[in-house]
Amino acid sequence: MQAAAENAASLGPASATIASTLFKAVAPMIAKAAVAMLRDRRTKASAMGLIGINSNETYDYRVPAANHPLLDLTEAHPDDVSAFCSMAGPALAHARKNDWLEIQELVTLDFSRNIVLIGSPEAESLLRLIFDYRRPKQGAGLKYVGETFDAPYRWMEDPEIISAECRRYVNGLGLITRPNWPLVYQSTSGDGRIIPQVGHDNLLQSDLLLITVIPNFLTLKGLESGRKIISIAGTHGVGTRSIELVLKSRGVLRQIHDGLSTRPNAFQIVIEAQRLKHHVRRGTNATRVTLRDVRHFERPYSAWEAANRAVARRFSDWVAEDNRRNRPLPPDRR
Amino acid sequence: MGYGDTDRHLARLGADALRLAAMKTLQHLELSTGWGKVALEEGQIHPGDPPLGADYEAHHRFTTVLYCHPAMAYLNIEDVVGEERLLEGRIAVKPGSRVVVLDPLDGSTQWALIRSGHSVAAMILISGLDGNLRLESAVVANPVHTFTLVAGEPLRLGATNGRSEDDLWLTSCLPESLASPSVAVTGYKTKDRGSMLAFLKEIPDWAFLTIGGNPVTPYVMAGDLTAAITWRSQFTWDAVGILMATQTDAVVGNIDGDVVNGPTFAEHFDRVVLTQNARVIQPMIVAKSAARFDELVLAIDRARDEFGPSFGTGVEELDFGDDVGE
Repeated sequence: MQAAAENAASLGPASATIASTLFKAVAPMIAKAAVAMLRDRRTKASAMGLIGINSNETYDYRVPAANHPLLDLTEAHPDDVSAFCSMAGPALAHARKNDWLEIQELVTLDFSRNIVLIGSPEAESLLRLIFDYRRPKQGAGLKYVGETFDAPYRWMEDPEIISAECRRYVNGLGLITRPNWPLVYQSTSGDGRIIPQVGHDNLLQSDLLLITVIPNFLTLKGLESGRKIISIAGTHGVGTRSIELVLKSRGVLRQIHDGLSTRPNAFQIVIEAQRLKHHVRRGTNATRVTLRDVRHFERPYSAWEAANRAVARRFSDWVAEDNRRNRPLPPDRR
Repeated sequence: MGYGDTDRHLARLGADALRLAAMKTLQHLELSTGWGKVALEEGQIHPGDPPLGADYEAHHRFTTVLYCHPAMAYLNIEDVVGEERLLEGRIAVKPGSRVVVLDPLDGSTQWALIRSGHSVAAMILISGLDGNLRLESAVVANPVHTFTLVAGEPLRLGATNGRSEDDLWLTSCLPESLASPSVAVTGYKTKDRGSMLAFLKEIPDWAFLTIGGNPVTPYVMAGDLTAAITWRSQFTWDAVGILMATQTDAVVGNIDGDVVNGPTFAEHFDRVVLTQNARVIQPMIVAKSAARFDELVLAIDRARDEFGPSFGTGVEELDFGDDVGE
């Protein structure tokens, strides 16, 4: 803006006066916007810190690739990408929008690092290893086995148990129908379920987001060095992408902050995504989020070591579940 | 439970790690273009057939996957040795530690010819308190099936690209269902042609496959193959399929007709398992039944009498008679 004023000055005294007036009028707005940006950034950094993502550490993000079990996708699910962009920051979102991102088919992940997983076990395979969900020998969906550790909340993605359906719009895919997966919670009287609400037309009225933060027990090195696993996963995509609203909602963040005052090393947060807007092209989005629960589940170090042993036992079969078969010729001979 | 005692959980864990490494090695071999021969350096020895680029690639792939497996934190594996990485001197493994013995591309000639008929064979040996090694687990994996043996448990069969939890126990040979019996012979080379023709004359009703060894022997139990013969002495890593057969009701013995049982062969196997890269497992027959085993022993005996003392030595004088080429 200063440069613009100097340019205007070169045109003559009258132009300089106009430019100077404009600059004086706009400057407070810029300053206000800058302050707001800084405040937003600080708020977001604080919010990310609340869910275990600290600005002074590095994290590997995993967004499920184009291997969604129920949808024929050529790239990652739009809801998961949206959640990722809202967490990774505006620069990455801008780069993606402008197609500046380099796509690599094979990216290796060091299991000993801080890992952020986006998406539920149905699409995010590593979450299946962590919580111990397994594909049934026949049929669709996932069976929960849970030999690694028991958490207060988990997803249920077994179509043999859940027959109810729900519908929602997905950006680029239109209207889709899916089983209405619930969250399962442990209580003294047994397992209970929280079910996303649907309307008479089976359109989703609400969705659920489960945030899980636990020590990274995938490797002993990760466990010993205090690394974390952070999972951001909704019962449907609407819930997953509502992380964007969570990170902006001061009220919810304050409640989470209060709920985590003891700084537990393992906790879960349940968010309800509400007031859904259904848009044919842009998809179904929540406009409001509320906190349903914050639950600690501290475990002794030995419990996470036991979880690591369970991962070691399960690892080969977990890899085999993701096999793509029948690749008869090298790519250059196809 | 002290060092050297079989810890069943760790044995299974090791088998699972071998299985994953084998699966990934086989997937790698689907796309490999390493069919060129590798020239050995002066003084370098390679047991078995002349090595291909794919042999070394496969060894590298196997070890890379194995060392990334979370089970490695618990297994104390000191080394991966075998066909592509020969031992230098006597191997000393600390009590309680383990060593992997690997043939990453067993059947490399078949692989080079038809991209099939190959397998990955791998074993984990554990060192006891006395420093002696013994087999704890083993896998033979081809692109379709994986056979898994854990010490003290029956043999398992599963899909190579599937999960071990879906494996089946394989304790008994499938019955023959084809019109004629069949025998697969490994170690057969062109230099054995005369002996082999003499042998084949003695089994006129049998179908004959000129591939064998680990990729084939387990199918005496799991397939329609009636019998498998190793024509010459084997390295232990080439005989994992025979060891597996001894854990089922297949009849296993040497070509002179001496039948061995599972514990006896396993004890012998452990004793010679890392004997300075020597071919310590004598020529063997694995058959679905005692009757078939006896038929083959008799046929070999007659062929030896017919052919003379150079039978099966690999240095025979070929003699096709006067009518060759007519």
